[in-house]
Amino acid sequence: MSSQPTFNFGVGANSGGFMSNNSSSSAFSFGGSKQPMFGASSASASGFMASTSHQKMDEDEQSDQEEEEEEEEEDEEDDDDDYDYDYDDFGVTSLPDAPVARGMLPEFSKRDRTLKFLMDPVLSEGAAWIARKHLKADKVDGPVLPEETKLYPALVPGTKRAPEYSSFIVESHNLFIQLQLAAQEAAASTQQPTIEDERILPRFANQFLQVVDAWRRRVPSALEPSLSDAYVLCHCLVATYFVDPSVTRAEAVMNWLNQSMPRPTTEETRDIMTSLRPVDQPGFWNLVHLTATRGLFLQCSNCLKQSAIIAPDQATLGVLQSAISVLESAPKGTQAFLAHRQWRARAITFGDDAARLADPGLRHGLTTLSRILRGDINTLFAFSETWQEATAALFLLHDPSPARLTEYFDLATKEFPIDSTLLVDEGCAALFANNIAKALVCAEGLDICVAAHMADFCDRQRMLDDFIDVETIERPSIRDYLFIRHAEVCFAMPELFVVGVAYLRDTDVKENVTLIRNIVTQIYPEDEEMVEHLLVVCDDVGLDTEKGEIVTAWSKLQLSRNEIGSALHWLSSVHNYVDTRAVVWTLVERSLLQGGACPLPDAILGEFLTSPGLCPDVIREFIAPYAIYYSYRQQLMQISSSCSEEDEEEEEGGRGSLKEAAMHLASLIQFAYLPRKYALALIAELLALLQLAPNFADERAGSGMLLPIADMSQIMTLFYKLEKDKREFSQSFEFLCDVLGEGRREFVESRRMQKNHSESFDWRVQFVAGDGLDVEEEGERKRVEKVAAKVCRVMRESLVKEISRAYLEQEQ
Amino acid sequence: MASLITGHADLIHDIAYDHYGRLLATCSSDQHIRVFSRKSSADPWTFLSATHAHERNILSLTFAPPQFGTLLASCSEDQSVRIFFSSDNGRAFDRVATLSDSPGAVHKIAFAKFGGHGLKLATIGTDSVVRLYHAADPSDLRQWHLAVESEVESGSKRKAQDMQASFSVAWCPAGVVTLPPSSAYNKPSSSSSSNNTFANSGVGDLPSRISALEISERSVEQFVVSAMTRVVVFRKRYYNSQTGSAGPYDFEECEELPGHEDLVRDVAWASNAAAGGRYELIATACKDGYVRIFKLTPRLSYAAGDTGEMFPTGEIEYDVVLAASFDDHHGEVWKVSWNVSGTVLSSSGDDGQARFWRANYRGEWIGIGSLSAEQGHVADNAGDEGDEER
Repeated sequence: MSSQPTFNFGVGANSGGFMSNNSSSSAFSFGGSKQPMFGASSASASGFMASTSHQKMDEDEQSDQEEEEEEEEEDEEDDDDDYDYDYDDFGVTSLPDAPVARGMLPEFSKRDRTLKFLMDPVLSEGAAWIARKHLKADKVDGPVLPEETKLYPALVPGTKRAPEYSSFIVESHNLFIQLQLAAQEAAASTQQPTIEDERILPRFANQFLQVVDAWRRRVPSALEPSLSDAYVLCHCLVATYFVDPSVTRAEAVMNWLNQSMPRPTTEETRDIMTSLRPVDQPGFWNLVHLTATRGLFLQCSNCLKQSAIIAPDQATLGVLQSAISVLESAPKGTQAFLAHRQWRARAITFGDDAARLADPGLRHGLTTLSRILRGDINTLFAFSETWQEATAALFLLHDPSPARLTEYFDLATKEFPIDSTLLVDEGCAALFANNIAKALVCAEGLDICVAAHMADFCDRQRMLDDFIDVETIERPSIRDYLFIRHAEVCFAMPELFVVGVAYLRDTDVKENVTLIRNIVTQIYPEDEEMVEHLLVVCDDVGLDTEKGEIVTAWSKLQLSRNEIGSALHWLSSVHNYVDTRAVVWTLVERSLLQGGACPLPDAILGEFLTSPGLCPDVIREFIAPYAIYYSYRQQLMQISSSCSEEDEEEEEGGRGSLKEAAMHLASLIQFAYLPRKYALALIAELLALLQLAPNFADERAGSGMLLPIADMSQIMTLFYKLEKDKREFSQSFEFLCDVLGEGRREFVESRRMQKNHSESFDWRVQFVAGDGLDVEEEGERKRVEKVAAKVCRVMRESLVKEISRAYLEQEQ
Repeated sequence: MASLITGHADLIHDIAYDHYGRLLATCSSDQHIRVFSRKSSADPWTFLSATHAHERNILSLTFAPPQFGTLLASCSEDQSVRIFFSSDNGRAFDRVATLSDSPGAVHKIAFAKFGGHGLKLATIGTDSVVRLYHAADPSDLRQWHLAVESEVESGSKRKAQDMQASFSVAWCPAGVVTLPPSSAYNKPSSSSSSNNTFANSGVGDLPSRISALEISERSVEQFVVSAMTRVVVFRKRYYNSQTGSAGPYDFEECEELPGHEDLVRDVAWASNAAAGGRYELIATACKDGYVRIFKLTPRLSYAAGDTGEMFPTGEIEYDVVLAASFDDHHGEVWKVSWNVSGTVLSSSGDDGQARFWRANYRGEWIGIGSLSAEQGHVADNAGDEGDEER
């Protein structure tokens, strides 16, 4: 990040000043507290004790790390050369490509600048930008710099958006569904769900643990620490409350400890045990005692076997063999609890024998081992470094009765404090203290997906029944709260929308319907399949209004892609007739503006137009105005193409009929619900068509008049009525101007391209051709208005003329 | 994520996402609106179109709900609000209407977010008058009816001339409000009250439980406006004490959000915030350095009948409580915005930081992190939700 170009906001500031590590300036402690945050020094995959990145930096030069680790650390060090680590910036991250150089925020503010941030309407992200504080700055704020016109998109802190994380959520959800099904089946088959749950839950809890374990290794390193801590906490829950029947709870707790905080390390063991005489190594007995304290009995036995201890007499040899035998016969699994007392008695016996040995070193080592194996509290504490070790050792070696676990925890925490700066430490402690709710709150801070599933397991085992808090009594249960939060995370990843809804629907919170309602319309409908998904959700929850909104929005998207038939189909499916009608008239409008041929319909619309029988009733009814206009245009196209192929053989499909075309247009003009806005343009087009008729002195014109006199007089009445209504006439006139303006633009363009503009009939050409084509842009509209006025004048005259002619012809 | 070069020739005043977050529009002192798009959250923003929209600084812009197509409105120091429509999903915008009712600069505009209530646009300008426009026929976007005009703070016009102008408006995103089931029973005490809560309500003699369920969700149309130091909620009324039912544009001032000691820079509304929310949340950004979160809990409104019996009017009212306030920006706060579920609030201000807040299980608001415009800040645990400070 330090490679970002440093940006100078300060007048006269030198480059050295930009990067000055002024720790006192504008270094605000987040939330008003300077305490380190929970989880800030996240443990690595191997345990709780990993230091923060800052500490790592300090230790880097001293410790002998693996080569790869060293390289990583060096890279990190290189990257961070410019940072001041004393700077109080807990919880603060720089925006990507942050524009203000370190320490230059005061200058930034003096320039009347501030930062603004807007959240994305769906995702857990947003964009920041630099804004001027005051519109009328009373001082000159200098030229606008390039960085001040940029946007700075950024994720909300804590957002996990790796594709691997998304897969983790999906796999967790699949397991959740399986658990639901298994619980249902068990309930149906036994009528005693609680008994079945006792068998089912540990199986699924362990499976979930495996899922978390697998994914924490796959997700990017940036997410790994918190997921690993969540794994440790979840493992602790499983070890303490969802023990696999094949092991005792004490063993499970010790397994958890050995996996999350392994001791002794492989290196320590290797160093001692690969020497010529391990027993002579200063750390040998400590290794033996530590492995015993950790319940690693086979490893401990092997240490003794390979220790190269020279037994000076038979008694010593016997004690050694007894120790090895005790270690190797440590009771395990289902037998462990019952056999514990007997095994402990054997440990006491070999300890008594060891106390009589002559060799002081051997005597001390073996009696201490005996004290560990018989669960002596002081000895176990002496070999423990943390409350976790002390608790697990007491539980395994002193008395593995599950009822005593809390007692051991209390003893251990009196001796070894809980690190309350670590969420994972605090969460595990809460589990041992039977404070499940607190543990879940800690888990929430680590990983919401893991926390939600932990809560679900606890809820199914009725572990949360006693958790009643006066302050939260009106709020959802903690399990439901975590499910809702997890669902929110899913909603921030659109591909997980359905998963989020599924989680929400599995809560007892009625108001979650409101949340689904808020979210469901925000999901971008990528395709029809997605629309169907969203509609199913709406149906399931009973969101009729939202269903309509989704479909209407999708239809508008389809319209913008020119998929008009699809849009009509969807609109009518939700009975949105207002928009259906609007779409149809928009089609008419577009065709009028375009002139010439109608725009090519998409496949679905084409089918609606050409096969009315296949068209749903509602659409057929609404589409009628456009279908009529479309037919009129089709007739004209056929006439036009038949003219150009005069000498050729007649095409299949026949020639268009001018009379039919005129009939279509006239019927549209007389349509009772015709928006008056289109009336002038349509009448103008009809009259132009009538004037064209004498040019076709053949069957295309038909015999006699093009239009019955009744139609003509109705259209004339309509025209006069329109003229009397100033508002409607003005609207219609405006649209006529638009139509003529568009026609003029097309004509100019076609003339410029030396193309024949009107391959099909375009009535506008006669008015716009050669009429002030070279006027200035500003005068364009006025010119068009003049042309439109002329069209109206011609219209009046033509109507009178046509009707007179019709009367005359009728009399003859 | 990388920074985005917008191509503006001057500072950006406001940005707006479309409903799905697929389009992003910016407006600037350079009098242009520029629109960017992206296909998915993983893709970067790419330039789509630029429109010369006004003759002076463009101060705010907003997208309409998607049911009305790609519709964008902007407001400016040139005293106008302009409406732009794109028929090709943002590649080009055509101006379809200009609303010039404001005698001064128009500072903030917002389309109603809930499309079910129609195409409505609220604006507020230097005259401190909130105006509500309605396009009654969304297929004819040239026709906008000025439905409501209401002065929010008398005297603020003068103040706005003397001081800095500060106005904002935000709609309630939801079209319905969920009432706590108990609210049906929380009617004001009346000497003649009977056991039947709805005795005079016209609802009929339904058993109370069924009635309570029926009224647990109410249609609601409301927005919050800030004018200088005053913040007030406007809500459409359904009941008129004189005529019975109210008119279609019968909006009136309802709750006031108190406690602002200086100019309010921005307001943001989150509806029925998650985690069992039966309430609304309104956040304000104030010059006094505070981000404030107000919790509005709905309840039924009651009126006295002819016989003195209290009956539910069909209206809702809110109990307003200041749920949280933070002065962590150590300076003026300029903008607040909510995430989609109303569970995360962002605030940004003069400290050059965008700060993020979330309510924990106990409903306490905690900081979850901060983004700084200043280089060199590296979170100890980037991407870690465990960075919550408690």
